Amino acid sequence: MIVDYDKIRVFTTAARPERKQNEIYEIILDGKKYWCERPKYCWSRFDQNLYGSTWKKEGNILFGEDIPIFFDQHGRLWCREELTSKFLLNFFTKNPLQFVKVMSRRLSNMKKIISLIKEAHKQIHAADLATNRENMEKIVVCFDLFYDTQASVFMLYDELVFRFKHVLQTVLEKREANTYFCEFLRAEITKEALRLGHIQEFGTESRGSTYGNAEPVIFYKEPKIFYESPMDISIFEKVIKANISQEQKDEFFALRLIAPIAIQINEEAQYVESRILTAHFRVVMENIAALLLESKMIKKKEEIHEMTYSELLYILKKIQNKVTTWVPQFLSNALKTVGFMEFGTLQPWGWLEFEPLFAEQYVEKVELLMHKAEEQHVSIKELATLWPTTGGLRCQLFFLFGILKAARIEKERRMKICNFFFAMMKERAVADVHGTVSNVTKTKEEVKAVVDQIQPKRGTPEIAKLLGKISNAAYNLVAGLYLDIYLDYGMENEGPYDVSYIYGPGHILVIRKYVGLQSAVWPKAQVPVNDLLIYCIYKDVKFSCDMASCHSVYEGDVINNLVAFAVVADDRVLTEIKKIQAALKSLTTVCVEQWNRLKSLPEEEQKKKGLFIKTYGMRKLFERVGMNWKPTNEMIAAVKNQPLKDNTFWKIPKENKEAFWENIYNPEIDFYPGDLLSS
Amino acid sequence: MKTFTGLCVCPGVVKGRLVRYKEGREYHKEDIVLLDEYMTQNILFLKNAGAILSSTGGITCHASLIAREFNIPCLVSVKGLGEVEDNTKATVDAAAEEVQVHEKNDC
Repeated sequence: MIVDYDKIRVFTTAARPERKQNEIYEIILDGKKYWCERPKYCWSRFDQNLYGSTWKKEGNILFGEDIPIFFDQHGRLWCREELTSKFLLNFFTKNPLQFVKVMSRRLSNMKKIISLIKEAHKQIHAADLATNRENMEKIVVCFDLFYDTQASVFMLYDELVFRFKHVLQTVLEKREANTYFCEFLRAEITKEALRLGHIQEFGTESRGSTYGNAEPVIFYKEPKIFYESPMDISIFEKVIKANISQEQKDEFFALRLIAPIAIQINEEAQYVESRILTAHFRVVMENIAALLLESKMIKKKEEIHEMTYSELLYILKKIQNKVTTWVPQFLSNALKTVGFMEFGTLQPWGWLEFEPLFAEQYVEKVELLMHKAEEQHVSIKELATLWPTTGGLRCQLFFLFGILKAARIEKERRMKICNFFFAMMKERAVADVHGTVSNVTKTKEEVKAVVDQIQPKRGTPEIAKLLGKISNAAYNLVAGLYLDIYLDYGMENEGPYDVSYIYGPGHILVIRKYVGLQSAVWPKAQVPVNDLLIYCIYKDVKFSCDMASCHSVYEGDVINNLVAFAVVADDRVLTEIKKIQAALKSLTTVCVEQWNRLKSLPEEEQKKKGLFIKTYGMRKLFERVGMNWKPTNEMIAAVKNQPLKDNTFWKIPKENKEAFWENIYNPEIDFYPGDLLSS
Repeated sequence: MKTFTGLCVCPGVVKGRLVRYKEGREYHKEDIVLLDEYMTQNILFLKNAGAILSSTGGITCHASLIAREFNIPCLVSVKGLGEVEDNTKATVDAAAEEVQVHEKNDC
């Protein structure tokens, strides 16, 4: 909140020496008085985030209601009147047992803090991220417990003690008053600090979360809640007999009860804060800053104080869980490939129109698959092999990004599903996991074994042209079977594989794969072959593809430089040209039939088929864990008679479309269909 | 005789001589040590001093509680002693919050 400093009132308190800041700022906002009692302390963004939530608890602890606090443009803390030293002094002297109650609560918190900090202390100088993150989280819990009564412990303290001294001097003769007062100017923690040699002030003006610049230590001694004095009885008698009002006598006894507790607790708090909490936290934050610097997440160590605690935690989790670091690279690839496609690009419809209809129900089916796989100890490695193609897996992961946002699945759940898919992708791909320029799924040894098995024949320009035609027919058939959007379930280009060690320098192998052609989704389609694999060995030809491997680019003469080839139909190697020509003819025929079949379907039937195709591509995974591969009744019901989604659902802006899609598809960002970029 | 005042953090009456605090110096019971930097570590060196007078600090400072723990008569926020020469005779009555500084000719 912005505070107009021309409107503040500045005054001083006699309770605090100048060195300890005796200025108090006051401002009236909406008719309510707010005080800043520590104007020299300007809290960093990190500390505001860290402390703000716990400081806000005090209103509820003391009064059972929220009392506003805020940080101004300089990072100064302002509290509404009820949490100022003046108000609390009056409140606690009228309700001394309330003070005892609050401090007893604090005593209990302190035991938890010491226990937690002891755990962190064991590995406080650890260099690894995981331990430092754990330590950070533990100490943050300590801060939360430590500061939830900060006004009662810190702000009030000087005023309370000063008032006690003043009241004593009002009732008693000065020498006696001071002697009696000094009886209580002691704390158990001071004795302990002296015993252990932990007495040293460092004169820092800062009170940030890392201001403790001494070597972190742990020491503690429970405070005395009742501090007796041999002078008590005679002083009490004098006060009772004194010619002062009952109100003054009540104030004396209230202060006699609570001031020694305040001294004990505040002294303890200052040692715990400077030597224990902030000293440990400083070490942890320095370690973390060094690690972030090393991983190039920040440019200067100080930058971590400009993050909020939540942001820092998010970054640490991201670095720690390396699986999530795949998102930016994968997303960048995917967006280059297909991401900026919009409505009407694909036939009969694209994923933007179709997939939001059943997004929520599909996610449930996938989550059940994940759950069962885990329960049955089916490895990611095994599941990865059950995808019909690697390109299909990549595309489905990309579609997931949109589906999860369309279903408004929360981030943690989103990332769990995405990480599951990516883990399979990592297992499946031998190199270039994201499919940036290639689609490599075989090792050198596996390539050698395949070549040995299929024994490729010499290629000719005629063969090259024939292979082109059969590839084209198979591609169109796959599009008719799997639709434009799920094409990658049924086809992919694999490679390039370097086969120079077999054929000599400059030779590559590219495999064009058309699989699952006898799809159970289309029982009437009489496709003569289920899997058709075309092996092409080229010389001086460059091959590349993108994430959807069907988008391939050849550089060089693919007609004249086809060195060798093999066509494999359902494990049978077709070597005779006549057989390949027959296969081409057959495929062309069924391709035309399939497209006629598809186009003649009413829209509702097309949508239903779309659902079946969507889950059919993953059928082996579903079946492996004992699930029915078909879409659930809920998925079917979600699609039935529902119009395809258009821009009234996504609300793509007219400008900054790319930024919109980058946000929509990024599973790490909470940005959903209909959200505005500015939000 | 001049009288100065401060705030009492540990009672006691001490007659002795005023000496300015210097790190590493040894102090004895007749030394009434003048401090400008009222820090806990300084108090640690004053265990054997007769009394402490600090121009800065408050009753709730860490250093005050250390002085109290060592039971060294001590006043804080004592103003006006800056011009007084070392070895000047003085009497501290901390509970009364008074420092009486003798003139040079005083016996």
